[in-house]
Amino acid sequence: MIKVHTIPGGIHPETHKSMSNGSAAERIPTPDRLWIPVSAGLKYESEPIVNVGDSVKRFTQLTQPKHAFAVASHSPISGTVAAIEMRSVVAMPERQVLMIAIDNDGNNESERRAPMALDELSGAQILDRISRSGIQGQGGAGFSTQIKIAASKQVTHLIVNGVECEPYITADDRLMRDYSDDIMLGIQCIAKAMQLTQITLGTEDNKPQAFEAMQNAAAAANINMQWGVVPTKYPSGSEKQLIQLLTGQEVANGKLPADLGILMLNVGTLAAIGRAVVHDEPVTERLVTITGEACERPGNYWVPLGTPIDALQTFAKDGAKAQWIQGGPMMGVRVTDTTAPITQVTNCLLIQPAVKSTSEMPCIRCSACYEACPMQLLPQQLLWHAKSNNEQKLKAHNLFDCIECGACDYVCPSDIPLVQYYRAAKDELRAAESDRVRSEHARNRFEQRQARLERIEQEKIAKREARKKAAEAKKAAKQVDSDTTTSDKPKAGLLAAAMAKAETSKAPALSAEKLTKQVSNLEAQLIHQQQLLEEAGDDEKRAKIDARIKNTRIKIDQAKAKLASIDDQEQPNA
Amino acid sequence: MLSSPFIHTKRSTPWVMQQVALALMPAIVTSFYFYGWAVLSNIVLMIIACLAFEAFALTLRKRSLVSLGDWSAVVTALLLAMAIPPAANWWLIVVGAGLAMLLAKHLYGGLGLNPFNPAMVAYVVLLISYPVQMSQWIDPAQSALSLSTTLDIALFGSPIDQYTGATALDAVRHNAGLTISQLAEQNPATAWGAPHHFVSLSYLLGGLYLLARRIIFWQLPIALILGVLVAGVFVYDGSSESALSPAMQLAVGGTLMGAFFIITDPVSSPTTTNGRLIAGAFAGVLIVVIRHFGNYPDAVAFAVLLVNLCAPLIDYFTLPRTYGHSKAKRATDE
Amino acid sequence: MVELLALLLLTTIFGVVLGYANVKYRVEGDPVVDQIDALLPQTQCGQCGHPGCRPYAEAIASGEAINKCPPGGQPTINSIADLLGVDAPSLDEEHGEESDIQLVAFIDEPNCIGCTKCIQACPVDAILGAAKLMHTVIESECTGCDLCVDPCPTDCIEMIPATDGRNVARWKQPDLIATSERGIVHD
Ligand code: SF4
Ligand code: SF4
Ligand code: SF4
Repeated sequence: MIKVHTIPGGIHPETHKSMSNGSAAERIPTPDRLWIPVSAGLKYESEPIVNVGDSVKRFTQLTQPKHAFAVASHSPISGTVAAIEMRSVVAMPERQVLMIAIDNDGNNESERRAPMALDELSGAQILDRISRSGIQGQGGAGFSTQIKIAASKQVTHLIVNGVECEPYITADDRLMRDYSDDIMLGIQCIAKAMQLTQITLGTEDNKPQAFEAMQNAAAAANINMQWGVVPTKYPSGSEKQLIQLLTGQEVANGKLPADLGILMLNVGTLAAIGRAVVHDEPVTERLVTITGEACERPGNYWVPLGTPIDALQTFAKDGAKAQWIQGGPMMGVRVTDTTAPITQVTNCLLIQPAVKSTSEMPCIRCSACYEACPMQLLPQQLLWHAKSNNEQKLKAHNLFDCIECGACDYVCPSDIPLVQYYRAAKDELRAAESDRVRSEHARNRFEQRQARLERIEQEKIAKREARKKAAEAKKAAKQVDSDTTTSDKPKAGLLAAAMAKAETSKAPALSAEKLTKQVSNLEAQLIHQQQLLEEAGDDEKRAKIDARIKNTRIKIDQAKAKLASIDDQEQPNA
Repeated sequence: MLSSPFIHTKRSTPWVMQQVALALMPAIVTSFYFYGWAVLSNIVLMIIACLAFEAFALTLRKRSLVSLGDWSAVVTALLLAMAIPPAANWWLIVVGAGLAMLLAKHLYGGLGLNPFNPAMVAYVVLLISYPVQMSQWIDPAQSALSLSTTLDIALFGSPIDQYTGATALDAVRHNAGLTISQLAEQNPATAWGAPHHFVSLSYLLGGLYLLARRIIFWQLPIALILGVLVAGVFVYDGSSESALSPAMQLAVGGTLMGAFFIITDPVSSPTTTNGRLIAGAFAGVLIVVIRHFGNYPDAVAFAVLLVNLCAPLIDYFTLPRTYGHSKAKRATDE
Repeated sequence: MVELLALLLLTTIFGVVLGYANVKYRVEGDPVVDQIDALLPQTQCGQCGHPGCRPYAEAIASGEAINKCPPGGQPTINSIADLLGVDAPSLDEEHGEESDIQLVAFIDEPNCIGCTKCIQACPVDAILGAAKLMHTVIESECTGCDLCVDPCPTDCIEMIPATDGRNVARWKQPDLIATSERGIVHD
């Protein structure tokens, strides 16, 4: 046991853990159709490497990363690729992403695996196996584990995160109790591949059985570990907070845990690593806590990735009225579309009864939020400045250090959705920043273009001058030579004609007549576009056409305005 | 889209306000014991007046009257009612309520936006405008006022003079050549065991309840008390020029009420931990300084308002050091 | 008399100081124009009636209305108003509407005849192509100014919503003191 430090702030919500941690994990019946997002990490793109109609087995690779931070997906079942289309995911309700549908053929065939004992694997082999298994952080953030490891070159200390501080969730608790061997395998893999000298388990004091199971497993596997049991408090399981609790150090602003020589991995991630490396099994399922006040049989379940939430409707007591939340109640995401699938970040599905809405009251500056903030921010000041969008003050109050843990929001007696204000403010500032960069860039390009045009113009003039001079010189020479030839006369005529032509083309192009024509053309175009809009099926097309209509309208307005100004000029006294 | 978290503490702002009101109960009961109905008439009239003004202001500002139920007006009413002399005339109460609700609260935008403690603003304006009425304290050594006498005085304006007496702070202020111990013999209000000591004690009790419930934080009251004690030492030597003893400074006037109920008003006080310590200590010192050198009998209201004035500045200089940052920033840094 | 002399002395001193400062601290160029230009979106679309953002910035500096830039919309107007210390007017719709979606030009490549007209129109050189060869728009460089659409003789350029992250959904502030429907459980 190591000495545990303290962290400021934090809250003690009801944990509700005993609802779901009573029995070992069960397996749900495999649904008929799974939907696997092509880009598992959502932010970073992969591309499908199967086609509709292909038959796949369990563990068949379905996608290939296109971006370094993207991860591959593998089929959790055997069957056929039934469709590849755009669907909703929980994490991004405003947008659809490409998904692969696999129809279950019930044969449960697997691709041949190549299991190997840990002793036979070299460090490089271990890392290679991790990188092709498509492992994401299982704690909820979903960052590519391979990248996290790759970014931790100088690391000597592995912290195993078994804290699970969010209320209701018990997946890690059950995993540590029932699958501690897998976790130990994962630890050994990482320790070997990265030549670690120190391994620490961090867990909360409300999981004594899990702690014991882990100690036994470590003894059995002959792993030398340190044990840190932290008091139950939210958000102790957050990376920065757990590092502070176990080592007393803070991850400096703008730095990574790796800069302290620390790599932190969640127990679920480690179990996945263990299976991937030793059994050569990519991640195709995960342990999900299905629980909540409106849940029929709360507990932990192995759910194949890609299972639509709809397939789990039997867990909801009151079907239609229940509200689903993916993740815990503190940092989870409201499920707005139950066709969305389970992914590697779905550590919990919380089924809550519909409750009556509350209203936000004014902030009374009671400081409860400040007392609760583990990052030692001043949430009430952040709120104040977020409302007025005061960029300078928001930065001075370290808005971007907010980990969106929701502790402040939880304690606020005025029910102010603080975290939403912070998220909005962060997005606002980020967008403003990227707009600034973008417009700076556009300005440069514009100015460079102007300069280039200018230069070309200058060069042209210079050339013309040079030619003229040359011609004159020639002429003079010719004059001297003989006075008889008058060959440049036709040339001068040509020049004059060209000049006249240029003159006319420069003349104001838009007469009233032309403008009227343009307006009527545009109006016809508008009517056409509106028809298109009515016919358009999906939202995406609609948005496109909408944008076009807007554009046309603007143009009509402009043309009309110009027309009006011409009219004014023509009849000033009308 | 609606953001996490999806669970929330049961505490609500009305609940917090109710707890403050509840914590005032011991003081109300003790005062009732000593001053009789005079206290209750203050409280009842003040609550009615404050709610009426709050409703008026909300209507004027086209806000929902639902906010009447947030109990903040009631708490202000209770504090103001306890701060002014018992059996105050109804018009004094109405004026006070109007000042608190309109001038000090809604003019600044209502709950949460007032830079000054509304009850104290009203108290100070009343004190300056009606010094006579505001210093007529019933002498608790005589028997407590009956309901009919109270109503006569409060509603129909019968004279109160026959029931009033000099408070401890008045006695010291008008001290003509007596040492503090002689003063105590002559005027029991300045001796230990006077009725108002029990009232003070019940504020302490209520304050401890709020502390235990973590509705107020310890820094403000403790720093204020320490401030009073430390500053009190410098002005106390027992002679005829001396102030009351430091311990007595705590027990008289509004010190403890100020420490636990006034300076702890979250809206108008600094919010950072160090800021609270500074503000509390500053208020404590100011209380003693104004009592000793100033012109008014009690100083809590003035001290609190001065501290309120400094609150933004104190917050500015006491931003906490955020996790992972090497030093605290100033609120204007980039 | 003494007073008069004192005043005279003071005016002289201040006069000298000011005169010196004028020479010593003279700022080259016109910083207000630069500051305004920095706030304009640099779409270079000309909707404001000027051939680009900088000319409009110059016009504003010499007194033109600040509400003529549709791409910048209200935020830009607000920040210019802030800079100049004037009240922020709302956008002058005559010059166009503010759009929520950032559009970029898209060339329907099969229909492009390689006439280079759009290249000449693009103020920021976001179009790639050569005479008689197919053209294409570099999305990340396109400011969505719309200037290339009209010149195209085959009408093969259309404005589509940008897909390079400029239109990703953002968190919105909840409505002020409105009922929130978070449906939070109080425990
Ligand atoms: S907890 Fe809520 S009411 Fe209290 S200070 Fe923070 S934001 Fe304001
Ligand atoms: S959400 Fe942000 S401000 Fe609120 S407690 Fe967590 S870290 Fe602090
Ligand atoms: S309207 Fe267009 S050209 Fe004018 S300032 Fe705005 S973006 Fe620049």
